Amino acid sequence: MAANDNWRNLTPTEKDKVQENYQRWQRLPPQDKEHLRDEWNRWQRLPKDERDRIKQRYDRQRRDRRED
Amino acid sequence: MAHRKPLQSACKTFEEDLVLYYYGETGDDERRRVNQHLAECISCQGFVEDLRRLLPQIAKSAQMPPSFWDEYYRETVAKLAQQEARKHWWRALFAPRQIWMVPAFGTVAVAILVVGLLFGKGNLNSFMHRTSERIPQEILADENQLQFFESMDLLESLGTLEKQDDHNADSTNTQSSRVRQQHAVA
Repeated sequence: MAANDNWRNLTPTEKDKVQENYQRWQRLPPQDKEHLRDEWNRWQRLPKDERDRIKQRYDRQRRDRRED
Repeated sequence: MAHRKPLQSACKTFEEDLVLYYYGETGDDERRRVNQHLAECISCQGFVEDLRRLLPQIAKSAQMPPSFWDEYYRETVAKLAQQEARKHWWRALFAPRQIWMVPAFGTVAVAILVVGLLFGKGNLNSFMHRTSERIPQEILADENQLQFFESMDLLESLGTLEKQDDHNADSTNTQSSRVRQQHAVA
């Protein structure tokens, strides 16, 4: 199963993050869940170069926050 | 249960005196009067006879034989010991053990650890990360789901990131158009 393979390839930190997000997701109100699902669909429709750019920006900001 | 013959009835006026008479607690005059009455009254004679027959038995039945008290003492001591042992059951865990038990316990503990590692699905690394392997099937339902939960943080700030990206693109476009204009003027 592809999802299982992908899961096995994640680092322990990434796995913990996924678990944490999943638990957070379960506690979200329905409208927030719906919003995130919409954002996910929109994200998937974005052109690849734009997605990569946004991802890089997001990673950079997260790294900066961690360093601060 | 054995049928007991009730006390023979005595004359009402003498009943109380007859009991005192039996116990020897009457005065001389009273005793004389009771004796005179007893000489004439068969019912009261029977009553006193019954007192003589029954009262010692009643008094005896309240006294337990020494064997009863020995047994009672033994049982009480045993019960107290049990109660004490229940109250401090944990002390047994820390009580000094027989010397041979130390290596025996050690061997058993090592054996359990080895069996656990050998049969616990592969190597030590996977054993160490077993906790993070407890993953809800909802996440692994399909590849999309896993990616969704991986990028949930990003999705939450997607709008802001896009705006920043647009702003950057605008400023880059403005800069490059300025450069183009400068080139054109030159």
